[in-house]
Amino acid sequence: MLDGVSSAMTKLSKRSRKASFDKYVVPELELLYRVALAMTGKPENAEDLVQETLLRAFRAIERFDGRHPRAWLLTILRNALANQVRKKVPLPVSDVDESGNPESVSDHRDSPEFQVVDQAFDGAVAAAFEELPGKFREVVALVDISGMSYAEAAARLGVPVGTVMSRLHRGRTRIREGLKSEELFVEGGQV
Amino acid sequence: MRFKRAKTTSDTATCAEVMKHLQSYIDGEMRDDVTARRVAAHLEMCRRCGLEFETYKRLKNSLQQLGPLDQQAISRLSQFAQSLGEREDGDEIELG
Repeated sequence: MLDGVSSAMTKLSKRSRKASFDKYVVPELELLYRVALAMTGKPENAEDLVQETLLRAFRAIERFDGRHPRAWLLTILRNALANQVRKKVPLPVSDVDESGNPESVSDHRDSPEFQVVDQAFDGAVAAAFEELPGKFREVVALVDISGMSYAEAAARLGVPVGTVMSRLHRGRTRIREGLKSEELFVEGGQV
Repeated sequence: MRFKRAKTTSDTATCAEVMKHLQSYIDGEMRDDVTARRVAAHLEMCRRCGLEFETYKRLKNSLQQLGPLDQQAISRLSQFAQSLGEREDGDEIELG
């Protein structure tokens, strides 16, 4: 009798877990892959990172309250990447190189810390791009991603050049605001 | 904190003019060469506008790296997500 109740509860829990996963996680696959691609720079690494994210999300879905699924998933993705970076790249313990000389600026630029900041920046831009309302996203996609001129984008969309300029400016400004909320920028520059 | 404003001469644009033209300047879409030169001169002198320019330029560079998504990768990930829902417990799944 108790075994039967337990089995029924397990099935219910499994169905509920899958329903939540399908509702909150599956619709965000493209966003996760886009952000992972921007953060890792390599398609194969991005796919591995999204798989890891999906697995972590699946394990945690019963504790998720259903609010802000994108933010929740992106936090999981960032933690998964940070975990991978910690495993693969030993962080430097001092600012002095092996010969005892202080590292140059270019050395710092190539350092794991800078790479992580760049990855975080690119990932946040990708996420903020996906969050843009359609009319802004299509203009940013045409001009910044496809490399069209204002005139070409205007002709493609059937709108005046001034509209392209206005939507582009507003779209980029929204992306920038998104970066501020991620604390990747202070006013006028990067942290 | 106050930023030092660039000295305004006929050779340099004002901060307001730079903000008006900044996006077109970054995109190489300014048709007026004289104004483009005045914007460039101002950006060299004004720290606040210079930072604004660097911010949007870096944002554009980052956006340029985004391309169309590989739909086969999305399909594989979708299958992986589906397989998670079919397992009794995701804890049993090991990634390769």
